[in-house]
Amino acid sequence: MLALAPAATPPRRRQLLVGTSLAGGAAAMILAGQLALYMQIRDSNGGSTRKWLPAKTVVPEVAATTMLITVYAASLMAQWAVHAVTRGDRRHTAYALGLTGTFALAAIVAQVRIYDDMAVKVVKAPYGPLFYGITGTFLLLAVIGIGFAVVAAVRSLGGRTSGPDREIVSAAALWIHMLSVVFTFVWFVVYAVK
Amino acid sequence: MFTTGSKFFFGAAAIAAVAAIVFAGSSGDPFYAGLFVLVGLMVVATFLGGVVSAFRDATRPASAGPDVLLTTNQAAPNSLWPLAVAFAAGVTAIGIAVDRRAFLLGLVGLLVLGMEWVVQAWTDGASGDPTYNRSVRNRYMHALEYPVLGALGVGFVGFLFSRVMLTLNENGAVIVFVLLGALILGGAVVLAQAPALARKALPAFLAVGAAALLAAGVVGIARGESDHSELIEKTGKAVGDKANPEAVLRVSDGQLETPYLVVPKGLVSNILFRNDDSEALGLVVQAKRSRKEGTQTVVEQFEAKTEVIGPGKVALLTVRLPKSGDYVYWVENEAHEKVASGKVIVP
Repeated sequence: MLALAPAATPPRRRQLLVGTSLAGGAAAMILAGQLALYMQIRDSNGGSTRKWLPAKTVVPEVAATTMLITVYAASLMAQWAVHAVTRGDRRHTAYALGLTGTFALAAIVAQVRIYDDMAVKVVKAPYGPLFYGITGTFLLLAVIGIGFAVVAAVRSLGGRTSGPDREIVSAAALWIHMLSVVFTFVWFVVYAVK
Repeated sequence: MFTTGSKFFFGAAAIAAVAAIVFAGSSGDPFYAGLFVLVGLMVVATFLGGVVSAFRDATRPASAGPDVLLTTNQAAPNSLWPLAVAFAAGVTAIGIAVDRRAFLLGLVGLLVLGMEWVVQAWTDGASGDPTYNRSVRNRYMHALEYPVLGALGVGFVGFLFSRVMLTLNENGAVIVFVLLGALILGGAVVLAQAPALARKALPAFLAVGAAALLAAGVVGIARGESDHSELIEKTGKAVGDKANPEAVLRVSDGQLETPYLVVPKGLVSNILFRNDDSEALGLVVQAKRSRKEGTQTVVEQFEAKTEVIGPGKVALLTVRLPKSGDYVYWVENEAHEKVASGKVIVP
């Protein structure tokens, strides 16, 4: 007697990945709004770096560019984690997620170094509130990214390398990629154009 | 091709693109704010449309059944970790405003307690059996918790004990140390004689000991360190045998007992200065040393001196004489007047 072939596995819902995309989109829009305000207010205050930056403020471009490279390195490591978890390689998943968190942490350290070097007062309006508002929002997103990587590591290393425990690695990677793209704009506006 | 959800996002992206073009063309300077927001909206909406389309609106047919690999129908057990994490977050927030140490402590608490929470949440869903879930959680976390808690416990006991010792004077500290040692030894001997009793009494013994140490430590912290100035006066400035002096210089009645000293080249040497004169005196050694300044070597003179010490006191002078030669040393009073002098030979 002939039996029918089994039905194809229905697609997974991937709520986590879609939810992360929505949250990432929201975060990107917050920063887009802040950067828009930054450029608007910069323009109404002379529109040139010399008139806009507070006196004696020097933007540490080396540290800022290093931070940009670091963020992209985190992005690369996150994608390595996705690659490894897809193949069920727990060890490489652990390395990759550990390095992702470490690079994200390094980006935070670079940001703190920039704060220290620039020594801009928060109350030095309008530059101070805008500068700390934008970079502080990015710092918060980076901290969330580290937390996401830690949760993904626990879930994927202690659980399965399939299903929800694999999806969370992809979601964490998506968040880190979002950070990289967003920081490119932050770097261009705040540290390059100034 | 496009799912229903993605069409909303792509539509929003298209509207944002048109709006951006119209805005850029119609508004004068400055136009950054609106353009940034509209272009940002276009990019983000396009991205979300792509994601939603790729994952088919995050839906699946009802006939496919629930999209979970393991069904855990029981409610998750109660957990104190969220409360603890919230407390750590509070400490961190207060620490930012009040005290850097509290901030760092809060951060460490957030990290550690957050990890506990993550693991707890994960193991709660490991299976439908709470006992098995607990065993999974314990297998992972006990390997970390026991060593860390043990180290913290030892550190805490050491800290409390140090507070008790520091709040007592020198005699009290010795008496307490002896009594405590005797009590522990005696208790151990008694419990060793009756193993059956020990099994029941040991936890109580340890609990009472911990409570007593905690109480004594809190009292010690509240009282602060005792005044050890008298003890310091007696012993603090005394030179210990470990000083291993190269030479002893004694001055009495305005005369130095040793007219010259031989000090090895380049070695750290201790010179003991004993003031048996009737006035306060200090020892000064004058020598030369060289240092690099760019590519040049500069030779400079330097002086090493003790504090001016009272009659009957002893001071230690540590010097390192890197260049061979004949140098001088002298004894001077508080007005920096030379009382006596001698020669230092570095062979």
